[in-house]
Amino acid sequence: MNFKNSRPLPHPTMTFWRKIFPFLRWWNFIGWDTTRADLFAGLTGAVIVLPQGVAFAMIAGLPPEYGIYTAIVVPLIAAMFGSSLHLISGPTTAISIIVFTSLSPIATPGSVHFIQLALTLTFLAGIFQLSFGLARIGILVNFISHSVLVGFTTGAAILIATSQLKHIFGLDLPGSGSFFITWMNILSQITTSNPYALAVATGTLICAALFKTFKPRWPGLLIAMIVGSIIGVFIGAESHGIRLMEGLPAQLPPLSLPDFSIQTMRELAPKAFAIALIGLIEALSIARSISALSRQQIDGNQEFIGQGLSNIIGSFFSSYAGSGSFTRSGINYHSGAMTPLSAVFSAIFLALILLIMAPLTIYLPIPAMGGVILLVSFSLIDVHHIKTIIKTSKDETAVLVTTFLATLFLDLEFAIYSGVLMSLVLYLSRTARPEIVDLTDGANEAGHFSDQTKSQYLNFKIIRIDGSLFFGAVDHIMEFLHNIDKKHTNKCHLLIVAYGINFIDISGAEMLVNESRRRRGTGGGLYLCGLKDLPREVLEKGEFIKDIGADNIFCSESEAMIKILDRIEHPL
Amino acid sequence: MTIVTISRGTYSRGKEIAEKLAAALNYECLSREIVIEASKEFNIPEIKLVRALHDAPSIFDRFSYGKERYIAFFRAALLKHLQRDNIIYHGLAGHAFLQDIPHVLKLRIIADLDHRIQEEMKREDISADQARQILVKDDTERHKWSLTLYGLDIWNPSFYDMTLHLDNLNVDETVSIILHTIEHSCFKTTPQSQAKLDDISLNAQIEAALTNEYPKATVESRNGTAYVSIRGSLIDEKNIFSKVNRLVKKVAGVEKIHVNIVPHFIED
Repeated sequence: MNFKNSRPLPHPTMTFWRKIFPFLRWWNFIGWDTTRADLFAGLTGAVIVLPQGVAFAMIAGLPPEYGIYTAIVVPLIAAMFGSSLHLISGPTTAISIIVFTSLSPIATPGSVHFIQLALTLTFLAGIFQLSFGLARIGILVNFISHSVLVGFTTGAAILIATSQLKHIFGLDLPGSGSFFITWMNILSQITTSNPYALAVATGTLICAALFKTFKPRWPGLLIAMIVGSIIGVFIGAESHGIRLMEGLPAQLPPLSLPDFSIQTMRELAPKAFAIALIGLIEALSIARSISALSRQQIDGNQEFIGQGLSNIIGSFFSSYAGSGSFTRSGINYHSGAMTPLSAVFSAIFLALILLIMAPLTIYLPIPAMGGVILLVSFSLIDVHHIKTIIKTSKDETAVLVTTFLATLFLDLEFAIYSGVLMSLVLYLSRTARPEIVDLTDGANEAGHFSDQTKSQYLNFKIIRIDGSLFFGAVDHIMEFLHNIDKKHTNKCHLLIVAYGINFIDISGAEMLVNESRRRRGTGGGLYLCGLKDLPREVLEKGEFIKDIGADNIFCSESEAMIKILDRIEHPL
Repeated sequence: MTIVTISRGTYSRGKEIAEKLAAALNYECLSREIVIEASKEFNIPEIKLVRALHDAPSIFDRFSYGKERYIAFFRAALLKHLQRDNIIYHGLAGHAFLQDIPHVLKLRIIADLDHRIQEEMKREDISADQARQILVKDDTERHKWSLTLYGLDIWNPSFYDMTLHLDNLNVDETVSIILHTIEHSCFKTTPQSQAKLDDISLNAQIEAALTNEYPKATVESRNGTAYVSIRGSLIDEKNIFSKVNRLVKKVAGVEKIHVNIVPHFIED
């Protein structure tokens, strides 16, 4: 017994409350060490989200403070009720763009009506997400494979880095363009870049990199941003055309009320559904990417509930639709966050910054933020796993590359869809071609009775099928069985060793019946041995066993061998 | 060749029993000596150590790990001492640390509360109500201590090999029963049980070496190979590895170290 871990078994009442309030599941892990780590990560996260919140709110067509409100309320609720220990929710680029494109045809961006519609949209999206979670369809997350995640993470890291280049070089580029257009714009304007902005960004980046390398436990990103601000003040940032943060109103998220009229709800429901889906995919993908690093197991349903609740509650506190943020989650994890308390601290710090330090935020140069985000984005690239995937499997490499390219050149959610779709197609094509091992044809590991059989009984063939006999695999197996006849016309007796068959569907059973009839027609027979319970049940329930012949089905290879060889030697 | 641990409430005459038992067996009798030893070895105030072993942890302790640190030092000192064998230990927390060692006879001595109140009144010259209050508070603290830190209920008899109630029994009769009990072969030290004690003692030495930096570190060691589990972020892995190696290197008897980072703990 390790006495430090010798806690009593959880009381059933406690288990019940942990299901209702998931933060109780990690509550006992909290200590001074985790709190200290979470405080640093929370502080760093709060400073990072400040300019992002402003930018994303502006993308969504909302006043800048709404981005900050979203960055305070949404991550707090999502962290307490979600599953991931490191996911930071809040305003994101993708959701902000969708909010704008959904509502701008109905209301003037920035108007009171637009704001109320945004809150209603958020409320409805939250209801959808909560329903998905309660209906337990979080299993969908299992279809996002590791290769998809690595590809998505790598692509997203490059996207995030690309989005920061204009700040780093001090370029004045048009709004949100595609990856390709952004690069074209950067390259065409690179000669007009601002060397002062580049100096601030480089200084901040070097400082952050040094802390990451030599003092990983220190809040390096935060210190780097302060250093960036000092460099900015020292060189006279504004006079050299470096953009600084805008001043913010010193106010906590005010109470708000979505529009619950039936007409508005009906109008916004389809748009809210899309936001709900994209938000969940984004949040789950990020949660899973971070969990690949943190080795945490993500409960998809719980994450859905957390996201849903955060948007529902957020809509009553002047917050618009949020989801998981790749940048902030990455920063949170790499700053050493250990529990979701980092998100809570981040929200508290952000609220404090908003209240106390709002006027000071004007000293933070945007290129300094860019430098920090650039470092974080490259930390998200999992070189070790990319190498492993490339070395291990061509199929997985194809999935990785497809997802990576789709992330760069398509919308984020479609990148995930394409990766998942490709994974499924490859999986189906693998299962549709079960391995068929010829146990009577030369040396193989399972051919312990093959030599004797081969020499003594030339019209007898034994094969083993490793895989399921379902509709997708029928053609492949039929082709193999016909090829036996083409190569060896005398092999009319066929024994299938079925230990490797886990499942047989109607098509597979009918294929066996047809093969059995065909072989009987040529004076031979089809025999099965080692059938597992589930396939045997299918054959019995569908009465396929009558057609194949109950006496042609054996428990083991040895029983099958003795009986079949006896029948061949002494035909009726 | 054995070890006897005696868990007792205040004024349950456990000390008297321990001393008579040690005299009868010619064993070393230990209690407060371990506290002094730990205090000297790890350079910590004795009073803080006593409080850490007696008082239930406060909410602040939970975050600061102050109690865990002191307990780690005490545990290291106690187990190092117990490796010598032939010891009667009557004092705080010993039974909690030796649960897995088969040759240790773990005793619980209890006495009637009325009797204990009389003793307390005599000794401290206080009223019955005051004495009762002090004893109940004392018992509750010890109970909470064990329950909070290790999830162990010290009033649960399955925690001990034997519980003796000093009502009909007097001290000599109790000692006689214990002397008879330790004659059984199951309480004799064997090479296997000694090896187990050596292993948990090494665990304790390593945990004491780590406790200032990693108060929640847990160690499992086997024949000089230590498996150290440290709470921490995986991004800090290299730093933790080198720090643990540096700290554990000083502990005698460690031949090999495996470090496992525990990044989270999620309960059902």
